Amino acid sequence: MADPDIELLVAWRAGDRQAGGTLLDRHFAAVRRFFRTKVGDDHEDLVQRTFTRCVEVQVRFRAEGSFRSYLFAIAHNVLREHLRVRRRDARVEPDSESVADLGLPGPSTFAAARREQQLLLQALRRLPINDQIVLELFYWESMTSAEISAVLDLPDATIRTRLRSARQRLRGFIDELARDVRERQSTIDGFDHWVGELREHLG
Amino acid sequence: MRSFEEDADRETGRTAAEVDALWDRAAWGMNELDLAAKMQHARLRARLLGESYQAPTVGRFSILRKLGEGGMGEVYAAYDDQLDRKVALKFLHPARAGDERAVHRLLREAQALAKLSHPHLVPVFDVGRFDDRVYLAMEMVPGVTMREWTAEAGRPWRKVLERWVEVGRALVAVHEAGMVHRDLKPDNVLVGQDGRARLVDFGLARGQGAHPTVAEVDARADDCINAGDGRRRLEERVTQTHDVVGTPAYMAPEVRRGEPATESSDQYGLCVSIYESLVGQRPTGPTRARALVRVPATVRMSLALRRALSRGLTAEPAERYPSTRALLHDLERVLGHRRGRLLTRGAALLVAAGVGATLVRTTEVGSVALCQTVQDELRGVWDEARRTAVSDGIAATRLPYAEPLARELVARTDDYARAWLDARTRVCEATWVHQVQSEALLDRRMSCLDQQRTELAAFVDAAAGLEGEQPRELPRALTTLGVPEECESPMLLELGDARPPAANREQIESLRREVADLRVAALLRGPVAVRGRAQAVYEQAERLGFAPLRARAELMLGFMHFLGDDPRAHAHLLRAEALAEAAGDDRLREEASRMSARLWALLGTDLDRAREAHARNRAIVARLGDPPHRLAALEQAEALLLQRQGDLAGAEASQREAIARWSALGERFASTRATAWRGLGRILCVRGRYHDAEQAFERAARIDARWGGSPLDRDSGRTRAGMTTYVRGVAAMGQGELDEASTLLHEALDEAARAYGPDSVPVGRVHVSLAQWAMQTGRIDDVLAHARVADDSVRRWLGDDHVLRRSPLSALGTAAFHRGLPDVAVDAFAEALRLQQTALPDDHLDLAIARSNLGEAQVLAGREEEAQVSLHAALAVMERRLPDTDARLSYPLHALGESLLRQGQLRPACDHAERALWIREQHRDDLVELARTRWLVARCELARGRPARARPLAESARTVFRTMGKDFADEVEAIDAALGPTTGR
Repeated sequence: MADPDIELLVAWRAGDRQAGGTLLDRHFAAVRRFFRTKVGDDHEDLVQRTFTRCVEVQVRFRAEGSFRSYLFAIAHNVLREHLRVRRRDARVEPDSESVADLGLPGPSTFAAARREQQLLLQALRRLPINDQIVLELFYWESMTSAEISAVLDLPDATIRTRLRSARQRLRGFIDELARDVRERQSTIDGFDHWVGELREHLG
Repeated sequence: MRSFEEDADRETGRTAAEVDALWDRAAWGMNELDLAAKMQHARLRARLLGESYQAPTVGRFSILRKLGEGGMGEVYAAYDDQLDRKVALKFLHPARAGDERAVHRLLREAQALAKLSHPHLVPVFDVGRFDDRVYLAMEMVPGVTMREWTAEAGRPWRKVLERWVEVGRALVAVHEAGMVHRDLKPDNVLVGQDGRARLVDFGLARGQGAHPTVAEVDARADDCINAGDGRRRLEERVTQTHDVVGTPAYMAPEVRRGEPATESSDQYGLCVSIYESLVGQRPTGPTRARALVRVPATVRMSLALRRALSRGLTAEPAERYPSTRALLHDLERVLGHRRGRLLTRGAALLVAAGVGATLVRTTEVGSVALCQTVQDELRGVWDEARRTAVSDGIAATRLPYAEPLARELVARTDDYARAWLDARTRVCEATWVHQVQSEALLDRRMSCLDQQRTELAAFVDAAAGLEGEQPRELPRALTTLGVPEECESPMLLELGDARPPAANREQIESLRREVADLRVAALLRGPVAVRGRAQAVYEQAERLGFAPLRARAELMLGFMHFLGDDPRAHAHLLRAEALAEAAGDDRLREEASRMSARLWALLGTDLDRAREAHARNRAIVARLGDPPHRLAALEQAEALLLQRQGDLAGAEASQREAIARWSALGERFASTRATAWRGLGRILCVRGRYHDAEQAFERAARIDARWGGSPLDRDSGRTRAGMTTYVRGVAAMGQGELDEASTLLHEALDEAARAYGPDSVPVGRVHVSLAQWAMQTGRIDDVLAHARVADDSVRRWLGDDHVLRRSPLSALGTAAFHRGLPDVAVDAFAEALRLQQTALPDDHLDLAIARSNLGEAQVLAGREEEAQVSLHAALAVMERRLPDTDARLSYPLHALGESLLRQGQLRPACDHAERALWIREQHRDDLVELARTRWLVARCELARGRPARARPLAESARTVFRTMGKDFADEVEAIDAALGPTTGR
């Protein structure tokens, strides 16, 4: 077990609160961000559920697994359950349905500082949820495609393909959404930049 | 781990290092100011790790919650721990990231702003720095923006212009201090609940020297975007980049061109705003020199006002007013023309100039003397002689705290008398000096003040003539007097006429006084002592039939019962509300509805009634124009209700809000504030935050120390808050520290007995807790003993028929039931049921549960017929009110099955038993109960000749009973007998 976070988790499960505190401090922001872009201000309970489950569910780690993939895999499940409840038991198809389709709260509640950032958030919301997750984990959480594949339980190669296609789709949406040429240009030019910066806001 | 995927890199040209850098910058904790995230993080730690919640702090302020985001930056509600009050923290938008000089400049400007003090500026208590954000700690001003305020239907133009003149005065103060506002607009003016306007949201980020043009601004916006220096809002109308602040629509033309903002450009913004507030749209653009601003055809504006605004709106700064003071002068003159029809537009926006107070006192002539005699109107009520009488009266009690109590009480009564005289003087002057008040309004204001003088006299006489009774509640009695400022409300005009008819005026006046006396006496001497006299006065008032007096008498009687936690208050309070409504006395209605809400919330027997009364109360407070002290009381009632509903977080927030409101109201309500702190302490205690709870009690104790200690401490001669011992005991029990709990509760018992006497509600309450403690430690005999004493104390204090007896009686019944004392249990449960019937509607769930308890005890006593009646009645309600699987249903079902089986009614017995089993199998949290039901079903099956199903059920039950030891030996023996003793083991 190379990942020191996994050792912390084991300690937390054995009752070491300090270890739990370190884990919370380390990953709280990322998990909060994960939910915030998808369910808006309603995220507090989901964040808590993710960490609770993380410490309560007894799972063996594969030797190569990272704590973050494990944590986000749980977050991903919690999100899916939440979305299912919102749809009153109808099945959610995370590969074809987007946050916008589901009528979840919009990003206006975020402290998106600029119109361009709002644009990006809106575009992200139009992507299928799994594509949104892939992009966010890649850009904001700097995860490798291997880690992302562990989160979504999909082959590594699929993640890479999806990353490419998701970026293209995102550009398409931004084109559609942008109100004037200049704005669109600055949005697309600064694409990677925006994604990174927006994350700061979602802190 | 964080290396970039190569194929993705190709597309973007980004390097792993850049992304890593971004990641690091956003690592948690480095995020400059997401206090909302910090609060959530702290809550998460508290819930998952069991830590106590630590509110994030900024300087000496604990952050409570985010209030919103303004043009100026984010605003948070926070607590000033040092000065014990709630403040608003405004975090200004950051200067250029990492630009130390910019941060310092902002800090300097904020400090300059903090030095300004003006009634129409929000006081700034403190300025500080948090990371690279500058913040201002300001007074919390509940209210709405001027835009919202003017949008409210039926605002007379005069009122709107008055508010803007107030803003103008604030602006003059700002300008004369050498500062510029830079962002004047209706959204940046706050109209408080007190009706005062305040200028807020200064644009503080303007640099010195550089004056960028709009084109440069745009270019810089791009720079800023590309440089990644984000965190600024680029809203439709708000431009905020490094150095330019303002909202284009309100910006003077020269500022739009890039020149620096000046006093003159503020003048322009002010005039755009005034025009917009009055006309409903903004002017089409700047005016030419000496031209008149265009006004839509539907609006008629007086020439004087139009001229003044036009001059302020001139494109060329040199052609505007030379100073804001000059503009203000002209605006005030416009207001000076009373009753002029200066502006009309349709009928909606305007009403004719009313009789409200004018801003300009034009006629202060010889008639001033006319109102000087007002000063004599408290002679004999509160003067030097009465002051001495009160001091002497309290000293005569020879209580250890007599001296500080007398001193503080006299000082606070002085405050009250001064407030009354001020209000009285203003009312007098409004008619005779300024001649702005109609006679009808004068009459109503006078009778409002007269009523308060009567109450004051009653209070002073009670304080001066203490006869043996304890002065414990005097501070509280003082806070029940009406607030004189309320008598000046123009809303009184809408109220009915409270003047008594001439025919029996004297009789009415003397009864009014008696009612006031009784109210104070109920507080000082306790409800029981005044009951007889109260009833007699009440009947006399009813006979006289004068509605305002009857309303007061009903309220007095309601108050008396309320003090004894007696549900009989309900009917009186409802009648008080109805009568007050008929008499047009909203203030009295407000008090009655609030008392109803508190009564039901305190009793906890019928929260629906509490909710209904609270909703009425809220509506009336709003109707009265949200007076601050009534809002504070409303908030406190809300906290109590939320607490009873189990929403502890909401209760805490409301209670803190209430405390902040009481704090803002100053010393007159100090004892109310102390009570509110104690309420918060109780909420925190229930939330398991014992340390915070202690601190809240400490706060209360510190305030009460001025009076010589809290009511309880005063009598016990202690200086610390006595309730804490009890609360700490309950808390320790909640945490499972049973030894500690026992010590503390016994200590609390001594304290309560010393303070209130051995037969008192507080003593009863501690005994109930001791009974709970005994239950937890398995000492059934102690449970019985404590429950008996508790019930005796409550009964002697409040009488046999009081609903508060239900908790000791339930404890008694439960203990007796487990002790195998069926008759004692039946009596206790029957009595508990009887009392709850007086307070609850027939189909109330609590009542059904009480019936079910009684039924179980009756089964134990072998009183089958009675038991079946009780249990069927309980089930009928519970089945309607609870889901099929609710564990509570299993108790009456099991008992009914048992009882019917004994009588050989196999079929219904088995049906009920099976249902009980089905429910209990799903819960499995109480194995003993499950075993009992399994054994019951097994007996049913045996009686029906089905041993195959009976046997495994009985065996599993026997296993459980065996592990429980000798208490269940009878059951084991019975099963042995049924199955044959050899099996099992």
